Parts: sequence; structure tokens; C-alpha cells
Amino acid sequence: MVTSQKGKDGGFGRAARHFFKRTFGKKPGTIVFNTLLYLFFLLITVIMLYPFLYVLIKSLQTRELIDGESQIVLTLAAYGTVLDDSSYITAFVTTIVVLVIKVVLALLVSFMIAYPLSKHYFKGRKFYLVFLMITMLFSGGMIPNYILITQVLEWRNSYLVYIFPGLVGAYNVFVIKSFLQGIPDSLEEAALLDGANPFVILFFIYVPLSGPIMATIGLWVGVSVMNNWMSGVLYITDANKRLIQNLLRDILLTASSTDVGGWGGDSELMAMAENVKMASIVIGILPIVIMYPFVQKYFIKGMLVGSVKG
Amino acid sequence: MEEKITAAAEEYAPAETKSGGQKMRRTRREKFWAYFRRNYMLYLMTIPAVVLLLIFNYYPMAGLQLAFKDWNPWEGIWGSPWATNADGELDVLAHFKTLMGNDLFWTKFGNTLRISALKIVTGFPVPIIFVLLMNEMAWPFFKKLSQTISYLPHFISWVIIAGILMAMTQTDSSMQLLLERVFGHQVLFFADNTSFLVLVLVSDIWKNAGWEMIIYLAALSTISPELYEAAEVDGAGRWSKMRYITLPGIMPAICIRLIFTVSGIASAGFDQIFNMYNSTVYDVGDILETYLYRTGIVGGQYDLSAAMGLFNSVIGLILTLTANWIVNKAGGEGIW
Repeated sequence: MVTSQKGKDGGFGRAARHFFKRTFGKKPGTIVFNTLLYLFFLLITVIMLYPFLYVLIKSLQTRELIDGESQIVLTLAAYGTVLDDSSYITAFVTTIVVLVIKVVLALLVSFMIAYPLSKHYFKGRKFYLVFLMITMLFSGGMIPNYILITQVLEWRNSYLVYIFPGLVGAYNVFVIKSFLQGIPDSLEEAALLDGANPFVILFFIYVPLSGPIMATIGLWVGVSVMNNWMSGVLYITDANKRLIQNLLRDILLTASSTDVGGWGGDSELMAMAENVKMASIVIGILPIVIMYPFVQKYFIKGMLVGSVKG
Repeated sequence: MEEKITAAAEEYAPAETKSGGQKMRRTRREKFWAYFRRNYMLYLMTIPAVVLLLIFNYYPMAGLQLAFKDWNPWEGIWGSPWATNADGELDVLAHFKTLMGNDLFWTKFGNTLRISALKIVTGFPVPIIFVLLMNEMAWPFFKKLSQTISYLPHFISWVIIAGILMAMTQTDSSMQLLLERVFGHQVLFFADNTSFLVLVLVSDIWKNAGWEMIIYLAALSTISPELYEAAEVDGAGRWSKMRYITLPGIMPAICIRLIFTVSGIASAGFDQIFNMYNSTVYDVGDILETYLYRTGIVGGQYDLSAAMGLFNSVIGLILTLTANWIVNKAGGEGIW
């Protein structure tokens, strides 16, 4: 009896039944509850994805007159328009270059201060920690920063405003510091015996062991550059120096909103067809969406490391 | 090499009790120089970060003195004279007095508090409910998938989200057609006060609820599975397990999140509002920070705006410190 059953639907059917039991339960009440639960989260997932799908579909659609009737046609033409547009390419290249420079510099500078702070024998550690902590608690706010950039440093329309403000984040330093503290001291002691100086120890011993935390901090900084629109709104009036978010802001928002920031005069962009607008959004979020599934674990790890007291 | 080891050993050795204060002081100084010669490079390493923080964090903090001064574009922040009142008398609090007597300022402040409070009421429970329900799912793949997807909006900027929302609520969009069928008319989300608030709240939940689950999921993972097993032996059902094990397990995390969310009530989300609002919804949508941007950056009233910013951040700071104090008092781990 048992063997014939086994022969009939084989391993797959059994596995499927097993899976069903584990996932949905055995009792009818449990099955109903679990089904509703899965449907609920399916709905949530769809809601989360809906705006993305909406944009994607709209970017592929255009209205055309066929036989005297307006019909919706699927086409990739909008992507061609966007990619042919030199302002889009310029903004994209600017963003990538700024991103690479800022990520490298941020990691370099943050590691260089986090390393001494991770050493218990480092005198003045307390002072440095307070010095960093204060930057987390207080900030000058928008106006003093604006005056600093525009009148003291005179960085209006300079690429430097994308890179240097906010390059060192106290939070990032604390996260790196607590990571470095987890690396055994014996490695450092061995290197000290070999006569290595702190720079050599940091860059040839600690940095190679810090892959995960570098990924985490690098991704944070990278995403902040990809999503940076504020610097452009405040300090950049030259349309050739826009970051991708500022270009998108001009295309998507400036035309319809009445606020005063931005480059109001770009009439060519304002008159863009809907599908071209949507295509530019798709291209704008594509780097994040493509990388996201592979790197999300680093974001989550970093978020949780940070919640450990420094 | 040998020297280094002995030096290190000396460094960690307990301070010897020496007779004669003079001698001891010299030894201490010598010790310090020995330490410094060995470790000066560690101090060199910190210089770039310190310089950057001094310029981009500490200098603007010092620039907040502008709130007490009358801005003079040729003299800069440091050279500007201290603030005077309408009669030309010295009164460093003049700008604050102007603000306190300004109805518009209080309206914007009220808008800020209203939007923050509504966000807390509508948005705060959402990730908790999600996590509690997610905990009931037995299919790891689906669980992981729905988590991953709900984190995604967190990484999309408000510029793009505002752009998507505008496209989604256009007159010929499917959402408007649906609303037309349900309510009999279209909803002008970007022009009608109430609908704008709804849009602000919903989009905020859409962007952040998923990401906020992470903290609760981390708290969940610390609950011992043995508790559930023991409860099952005692015949506890799904509901009792959620009520008596899961919920208490994540309660500390909920409390801490709640306290810190409430402490952030003075900032209602500049990035979101700035990209979504327009002059037709200023009555409810214009918050203190966007008002500050328009009076300060656009209108050029730097001193008054600096006072506004200082007012807002002092309130924020007091609330944050209070929150931290409460968390520490309650036995939890605050951020400091």
C-alpha cells in the first residue's frame, strides 16, 4: 500500500504536500488564516512595487494616431530620447564621478580617524569622541551652511559642494570604530614588532579585514550621492553641473510646482512627453534597483551595527 | 625592536611610586614624550577628519550667532553688528521677538507639529503590525521576498517619489479613474489641503514602513525559540504566543522607537515636503523648514531665518535629550 502510493506520485508530489503542510498548516482554520496572511503580504508587496511598475509601464507607452484613432502603443522610443539627450548623460557622468570620489575619500578619512579611536591606549580618545558626538547633536542649520559655502568658501557652481560637506559623518566613524575594535589586537602587536607604523598597519592589516564595513559605509555614502538633490538646489545654477537628482527635479517637479529653486528656464525639458519623463525616472533609479538585491544585507548589517553603543 | 617591547611594557606597567615630586614630574613628562614619539602618527591620521568637521560642522555652528545679529552682506557673519530692535536699540533677541510676534511663523510651526503628529499616529504602528504578522509566516522564501521588497522604497529619493506621485495622480491616470468611480469626482492631491495631507502620510508610510521593520525584526531574532516551544507544550495557540511572547519580546524596541520618533516632532520631513508641496497647499503643507528656506535662501533674510532655525533645533535638541534621558532611566540603552 505504502510502496504503491510512493510509486504513484513520486518524490515531487510528496515534497509538494510536505511544503503545503509546512506553509499552510493542517487544520482548516489554520489553512484559512495562513492563506489570508499570504494574500495580505502579497497585497503589501504589490503596493510596494506598484509605483515602480506604474512608471515602467508608462515609460513604454505612448499615444499614437492609428487609422484616425488615438491608440496606446508600446515602444522603447522614450529610452532612446533620454539616452540621446546630452544633459542626461552629463548629469549621469557627473553623479558617477562625484560618487566614486566621495566614497573613496569618505572611507579614507573615516578609517583614518576611526583607527586611533579604536585603540584603548590612544590618549585623548575621550576628547575626540566628544568632538564627534557634538556634530551629531548640533548643527548650524541651513543658513550658516549656505553662507559658508556661498560667501566664505565661494563654492557656488563648484563640484566641491557635492564632495566635501558631509564627507565625514560621526555616525559612520563610530560604526567603523566598533568594527575595528572587533579585530584581534594580536595582529597589530605582531606588526608593531616588525616595526610597522600606524599607517602601514591600518592600510595593510586592518583595511583588508574590513570588507563588510567598507561595503556598508561605501554604500551609504554612495546612495547619499545618488539621492543628493539639496546641494544642487542650493548651490548650483549651471545646468551642466547638475547631479542626476537635480536633472530629474527639473524634469519632474519644477514645471508643475511654484517653488523658486531650480532652473526654471529649461523649457525644452518641461515640454517633455509623459513617457520620456517616466523613462528618465526608470533610468534614474535603475542603478539602485539593480544593485539593491545584492547589497541589501550590508545596509541591514550596518543599520544594526550602528545600534550598538559606541 | 627590543626597545619597543620594553617601552610598551613600561607604558602599561602600573605607575611606580617615586620619592620626590620633582623627579616624578620629570618622569611623567618623559613618559608622555616617549608615548608621543611612538604614537604621533595616530594623531596625524585624525587631522583630515578634524579639519573637515571644523569647517563643515563647527564653523556653521558658530555661524548661528547670526540669529543674534543684524546681517550685513559686506561684513559677513562675524563682522555683522549685534541685533537692534525697531527703535535702533541694542537687543540681541530682536529676531526672536519678531518671530514670536509673527502669526505666520506660528502657523508654520503648527503645520510642522500637525504633520509630525499625524505621521506618528498613522505611521508608527504600521511596521509593528507588519512584523507581528510576518512572524506568523512559515514560508521563509516569501517572508524574505516581502521584506526585501518593502525595504526598497527607502532608497528612492523624495524627488523621484514626488515625480511618481504627480504622474500617478494625473487626471487621466488609473488612480483618478478609480477615484472617480468610487467618489464620483477626481481628487486634486496637490491642490487640496486635506488630500495633500493624506498623500504626505501615505507616501511617508510607503517609503519608510518597510525599512523601520528592520529594528523590530532584529528584536524578534533575539527571542529564544525555547519560549515558543514551552508555550506550545502548554497548549498556547498562535494568538497567545503573539500576545505573550512576541509582543513583550519586541516591546523594548517599540518603546525606544516611540520615544525617539516623538522627540523628532519638530522636524516634519523637509525632503518630502519640499519636493511635494506648492503654493496652493501652503495652509497645511508649509512647514517651518520650508518656510525657512523661502525666507532665508530665497528671500535673503538670513538673520531672521537663522533665528528660526535655531529655535527649531533647540526644541529638537531638548526633545532628543529628554528622550534619551527617559530611555536611559527606564533601563534601556539610549544612544548616549
